[in-house]
Amino acid sequence: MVSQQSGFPRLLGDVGGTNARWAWQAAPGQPLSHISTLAAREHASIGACIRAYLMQQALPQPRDVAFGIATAVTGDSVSMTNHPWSFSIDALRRSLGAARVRVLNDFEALAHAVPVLQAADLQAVGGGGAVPGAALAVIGPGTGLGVSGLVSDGNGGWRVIAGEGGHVTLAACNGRESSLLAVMRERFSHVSAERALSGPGLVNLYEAACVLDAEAPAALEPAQVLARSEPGVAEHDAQCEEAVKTFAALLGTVAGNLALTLGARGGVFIGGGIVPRLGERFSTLPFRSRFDDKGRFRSYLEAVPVWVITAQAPALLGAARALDSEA
Amino acid sequence: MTANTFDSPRLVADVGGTYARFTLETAPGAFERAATLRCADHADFHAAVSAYLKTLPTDRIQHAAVAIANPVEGDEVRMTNYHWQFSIEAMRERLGFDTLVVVNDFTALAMALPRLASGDRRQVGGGLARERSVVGILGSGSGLGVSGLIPADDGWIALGTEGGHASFSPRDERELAILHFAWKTLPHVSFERLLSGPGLELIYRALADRVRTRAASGLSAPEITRRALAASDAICVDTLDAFCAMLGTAAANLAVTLGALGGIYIGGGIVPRLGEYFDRSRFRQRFEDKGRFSAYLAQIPTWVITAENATFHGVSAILAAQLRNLSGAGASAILGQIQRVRPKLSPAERRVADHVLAHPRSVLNDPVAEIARTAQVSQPTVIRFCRSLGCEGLSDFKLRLASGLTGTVPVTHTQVTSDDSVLELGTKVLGNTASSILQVRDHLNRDSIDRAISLLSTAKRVDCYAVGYYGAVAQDAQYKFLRLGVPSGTYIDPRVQVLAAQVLGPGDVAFIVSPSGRKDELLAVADLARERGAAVVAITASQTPLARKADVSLIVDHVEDVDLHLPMVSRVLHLLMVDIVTVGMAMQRQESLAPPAGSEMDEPRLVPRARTVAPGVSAATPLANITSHSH
Repeated sequence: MVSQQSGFPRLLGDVGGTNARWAWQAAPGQPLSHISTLAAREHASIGACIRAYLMQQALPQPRDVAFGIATAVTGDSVSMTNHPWSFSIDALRRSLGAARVRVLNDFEALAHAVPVLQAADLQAVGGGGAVPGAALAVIGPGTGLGVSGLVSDGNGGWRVIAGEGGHVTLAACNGRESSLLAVMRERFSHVSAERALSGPGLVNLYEAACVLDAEAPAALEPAQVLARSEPGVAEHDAQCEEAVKTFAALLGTVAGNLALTLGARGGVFIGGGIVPRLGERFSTLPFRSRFDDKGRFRSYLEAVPVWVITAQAPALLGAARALDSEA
Repeated sequence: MTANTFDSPRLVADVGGTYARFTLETAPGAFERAATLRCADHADFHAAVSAYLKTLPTDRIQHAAVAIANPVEGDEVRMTNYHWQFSIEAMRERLGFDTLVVVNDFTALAMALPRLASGDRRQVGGGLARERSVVGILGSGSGLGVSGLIPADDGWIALGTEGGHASFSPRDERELAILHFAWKTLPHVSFERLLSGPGLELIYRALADRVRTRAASGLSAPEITRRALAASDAICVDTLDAFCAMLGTAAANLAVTLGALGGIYIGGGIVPRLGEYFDRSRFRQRFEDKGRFSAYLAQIPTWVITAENATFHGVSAILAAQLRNLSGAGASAILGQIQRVRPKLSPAERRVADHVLAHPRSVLNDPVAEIARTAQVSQPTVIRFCRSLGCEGLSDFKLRLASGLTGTVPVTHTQVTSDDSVLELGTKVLGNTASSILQVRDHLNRDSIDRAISLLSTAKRVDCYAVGYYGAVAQDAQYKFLRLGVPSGTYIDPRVQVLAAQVLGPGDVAFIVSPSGRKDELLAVADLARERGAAVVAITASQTPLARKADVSLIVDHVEDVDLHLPMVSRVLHLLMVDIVTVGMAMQRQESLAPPAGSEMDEPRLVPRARTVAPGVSAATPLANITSHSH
């Protein structure tokens, strides 16, 4: 007889605009298993996607379900921008026959995971030791720019700050960046950090660099900008390289601002779909030098540790912790 | 005297680089005898405080709190813009206060926000604050202070931030020109470089340079503001216009970063003096001008803080919170009583009172001769002191003092940090557990324990049910029941639990351990057991579904953060509850089962130093020394 603990088995998920990634946790303390990514457009609804996953993996009905989703979650009714999946959380729970369904914003899910990430889940990008009990900052360029923070409640727990920090006004730090932003300002009424620090942002930066260099821009996808930016590759492109370097530098500026604004001496964690994929290359880009470059506050920032989250499924882990915290 | 009046007035101060402002708080939010002293007229902080105290009637001040314009961390205070420096604990001792809290002035202002009345602030533009949401604050003066308040269970957590040093982001051509001008002399242009008194001067020079006008040399910030408000100088008008717009950008950046749906406050020395001008300025328009996020920002209200004494309110709030934390109900009962009767005591007894207030922990352990010696009184005086407090003698007094003091170990503030030594770690874990045990002791319900013992003692069979971690507690109970000769089993698998509950019958007891009291499978066991005529005894939290279903509930209300930690303290509490009922059963059965050994609580005395209790807040108090092991 299989021992069935309360709240288990669990289905955990990370639902983005393009893909939905699912995982299974059979019992408390067990590692996540059956991790599988399904293309969102192949399923009519989120319920259909979950049932397809369960069938594909030959899994039984889950008792508890939790997933992060790339949209704001304010009540029972959830809808995604530019996406046909909209649903009632309670109706989903009933249709799955689950005891609990917890839906949270994907970046909030990532923030939940941050306090339990291990050394193996993180790649250090300079800085000193974390100040115990100090705030933590989380930033993640992906489809958009997610920004979050965690503040110690003085009681061993953390309060997750869920704002819209991707929409701060972007600051240029030198003449060339000023010019790139000026080009973007002609297109967008407000050049927020997200306009540069996201997948579409990489393309915006590339196109702005082309305008400044009087080159005709190609119609590139974010992944192509990344691929063509590497020095030495056959299809290397100077404007792609500038776009990626500027991306890293502006991420340094915005992450430094975030660290100052939250007093995040516990560290800054970089997630999202772009930076973790750059791997070792990220440390060769001008991120950290810019992060530290805050004049009189240089020494404050030099002491702040920065980590890239390399864990395979941090948002899945965060979804699990969101369930734990309610048990 | 009203019921709200403090036993003794509290000293509240706001110390800047030029002036030190003092006031007495006689009741919550009631300030009297405000006075402003020039720092330059006094050699050091002690001299300034003493000068103010001399102007007062001879009321004894027990608690004091000081806001100070520099970062506060730990015990040592060193003012950035002035030469005063001191140890908070040494200063507390010299001034003869029980408590001295030193706090960063901007943190104090932030903590004042939830206390501001509608007359203390003026709304600029639209928006409606969402209740219990994050609040942001910016204060532009000699620098740019930035902070935020995050709602916590019963109060607020103030962010200790340096947000004024975030990189400036220009929004239009004029601001771009200002940035390029500033880059000539500054490698990094933060918002503070522009949104401050010196910032106004820098903007003025940049704009003068832009229109190729020679800047009027050495035009000071107050002069720029004066000319702008009088519209007597075009560049000054432009300067203030740009300043207000840039403040709008900074405020909106803070609002989106914190998700500050509770609103944004503007304080500091510059904006509140602009009056109506600020309401008409481009501040609010710029605040809402965030492209796709304009609607998000339009719902967030912005206020200018108009209250003169807002910082005092914040300082007093922080002091009140510290006193609440440091003297729980138990200790304040006896220590508060000592403070109240102190003026009526004879001079010799008063010396004993002062000694007890300053060193309650050592009094607990010291023999009468030692107490008399340190308080410099005779031994009979010590006994008289105890009787003045209504105690029969010293041992009776110590008993009351002990129950008060142990009750004050604040569970909520215990945090083990990675720089703790092994000794500290051990003391903290034990101290936490001990204080939680004492809390449970204070809430024991004798009736339910009696009823549980009689049900269990007469049971034909007692089966123990739990899930997860609490399986260990259930097994411990089973072991003890078996030792007492009661047939007993333990079930931790939900399906087997159902099967086991289905064979219970009249005279049997289902013994269910569940801290949450909400587990469906255990609630099902309780239902089944009752249907079958068996009794249900539960160890659980109060007001839970399980507590309502059970015939007898043994209540353990201990909130543990299982998010980050394994259940530790609550597991011990549940085990102890098992001990209590099994010892009771053993006594009823006239069997000899040794009661659990009582544990001595003995904590090392620490070198008294103020400690950082929150970002930007340090506190020194004798009670802090009692409890500091747990921080």
